[in-house]
Parts: sequence; structure tokens; C-alpha cells
Amino acid sequence: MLDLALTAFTLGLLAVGLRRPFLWVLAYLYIDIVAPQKISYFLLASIPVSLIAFLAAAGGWLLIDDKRDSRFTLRQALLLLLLVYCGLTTLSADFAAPALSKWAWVWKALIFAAFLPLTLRTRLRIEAAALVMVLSAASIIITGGIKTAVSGGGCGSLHFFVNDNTGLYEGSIISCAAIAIIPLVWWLVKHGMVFPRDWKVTAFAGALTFACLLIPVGTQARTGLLCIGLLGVLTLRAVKHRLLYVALMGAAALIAIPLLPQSYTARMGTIENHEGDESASQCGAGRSTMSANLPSAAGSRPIAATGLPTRRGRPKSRAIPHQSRPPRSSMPAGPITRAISRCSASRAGRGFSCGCCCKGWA
Amino acid sequence: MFDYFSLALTHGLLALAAWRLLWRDDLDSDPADPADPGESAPAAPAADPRFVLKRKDPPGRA
Repeated sequence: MLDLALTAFTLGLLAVGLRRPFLWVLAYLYIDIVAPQKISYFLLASIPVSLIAFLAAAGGWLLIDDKRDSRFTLRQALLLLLLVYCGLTTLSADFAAPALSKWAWVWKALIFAAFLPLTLRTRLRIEAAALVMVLSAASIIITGGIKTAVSGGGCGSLHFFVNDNTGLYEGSIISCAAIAIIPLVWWLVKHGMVFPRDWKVTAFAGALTFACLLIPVGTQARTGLLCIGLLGVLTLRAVKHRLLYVALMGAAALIAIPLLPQSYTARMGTIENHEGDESASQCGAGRSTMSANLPSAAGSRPIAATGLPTRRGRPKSRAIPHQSRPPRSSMPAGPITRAISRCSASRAGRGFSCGCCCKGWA
Repeated sequence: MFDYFSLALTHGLLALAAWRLLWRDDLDSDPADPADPGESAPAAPAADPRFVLKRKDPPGRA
């Protein structure tokens, strides 16, 4: 049933693009964010729907759309430059094949990011793109927010539609995105022309904002807390009564802290500085901690140009040589032990990496 | 159940937004775009009331 509904919705979105080709651009945004082909079991999963939407969006712009107001800007050139840089560093990585699979989503995202401004010629198109991105992300955020409110979530245990751990389904990325769209939500409430402001739009925006704030709690991603702090600071630019705003924020924090899960406050307490927080997006003790304590295991280049930890010249199945590793019972109960045991438990229990320090170590 | 609720709500709103966009003329061109010859010219700015000469209506007209 879900398969049929998602397939009907996606094909319907592509079909209305025959009348207005710009809707194909919106269809691609939806597919790129929600990834219905990953939620689907067989219908959409068997079709390269993302590629179809991209070809439709690009073809519609090339063949049908008015291109008088389309401009190629320096920002797009920088995006293409970044694309070339990513390609070169990935292809020249020590382990090019895993790097290619890890970065598979980057190419189309960068190409589409450079292409999208060419199509955003009118005010309504800009608003429509923002609206579709917000509503698409909301489909993930609302379910995550409700689950957090009901169960509390946990690091690596808040499940969205799929256990993919890529794109917006990765804990720290959805935390960052959820906080980042809050100003966009309220801009749409204030200036939106597709859904003009009324009590229903305002109520939905308020509930969505609350769900967005719950996502960092549910995923227990430290990135989310940093984003909330940054958003609070940036909001100071727009508010009229700053002292009152700061006082209210402080009061809200004091009220919220006792209601937060103990595991969340404990995890947020591990935020230190940039040296100790390189693994802010990951659960466990972190890659940098392990690299600092186990330099022999990290190798001479712990982080490759592609962001993948490498173990040049080491057997793939052995991140830590058994000869140099003490028996598990004699290991001190420090962060390294906890990280290793957490990774092992995660892989054994769920059959996939939890996105923590075992990335590149397994 | 939460997944179905979230998917139904947001996909319903997405479908409604797509339906509304389908019938909007200003999706493809801004109505006040002076460079677009297909659009009507923008309205002239309102005259400053301080410099508008008020004409007296002839007697007998409302």
C-alpha cells in the first residue's frame, strides 16, 4: 500500500511537469530529500527515479523553459570547481573503490546545486523550491520529532523511514538540516504565496519548529546543539528587544534541561573544543580520540582527502593488530574500550555500521 | 503509525502545493517584470499628493 501511494505520488508529480516543466525541478528536490525509492520495497526501488527526474528537470529547462533571466554566477563556478576537486581527490584516494561508494551521492548533489539557480527565475519559483524542500524534510522531521517525544530517541537508535545512514537519514545531517530550516519555515509563513498566512499555516509551522528542535535530542547529535546555539545567536540580529530575547532563551533552556534525557545531557557534555570534537557528527568516543590514542592503528594518514580513514598497507579486516591489542578483559574502561565495544555490539546486533568510529575501521 | 502519519501529512501538502502552482501564471514570469514584453507595464508610482492639482468640479455635478 505504501509502495503504491509513493509510486502514485512520484509519478503524479512527474506527470504534472508535462504542463509546467518547473515542477520536474521540484520533483527532483523531493526525490533527492525524501528518497522514496529507498522507502519503497519494489515499485520505485526498481526504477532509477532520481535519474529520470534529473533528466526531466534538465531537459525541461533546456528545451522548454525561458532562459532569458538565467545567469551563470561565480557561486555556480565555485560549485563546479568543488565538484572537480572532489572527483580528483576521490579517484586518487588510497582506497578509491570505497571512497567512490561513500561519495556516490555527492556528484548529483553538486551538479544539481549548480543547475538549480538557472531555473529559479521568478519569486514564486524561489518560494516553491523552498516550500518543497521544507515539506520534504518535514516528512522525516515530523516522524522523528514524534518518536523523540514518545520514546526519547538515542544515539543511532532513532529510526526514520530507512536505515540508510546517508543523506538526510544520517543523524547529524538531519539535526543540522532540521535546525537550518527553522528560519525558512517562518519566512514561508510570513511571505508565502502558495500557502498564505492563516491560523492553520501558523499552527503547522509552530508544530514543525518544535519537531525540528526535538530532532537533535532524538538523534543525540552534538551538531544539532551547536546549530541551535548558532541559530539563537543569529536570531539576535532580527529581534527588536534583545535583552528580553536573551532572557527568554535562558529561561527556556533552564526549563528544557530537566526534561531532556540523561543520555542527551551526558553526550552534550562531551563537547569540548575543535580538537576533541572532530567526531561531533558521530556516536561513541570518536574517531579522533581513537586516532590520538592508537596512532599505530590510524596509520600515517588517518584522514584521506575524501574524509575516509585509511589503513595503508594493513589487512582490511584488522583495524587493530591483535598482537598489539591487550585482551579485552584487561583493557581499561575508558572511552576507547566503550567505543570498540559499542561498535562491535552495533555491527553484531544490526548488521551495519552505526556511523561511529567503526567507519573505516571495520 | 507515526511514519504513515508524517508521510500522509507532508505528501498531502506537497500535492496541494503542486496543484496550486500548476495554475499560477507567475510561476514562469514575474508579473512586474519590465523586461518581459509579454507582460503589462508596471503601474506608475503614485503621485505625491502635495503636488497634485485639485480641479474643482463644475457646479451642478456630484
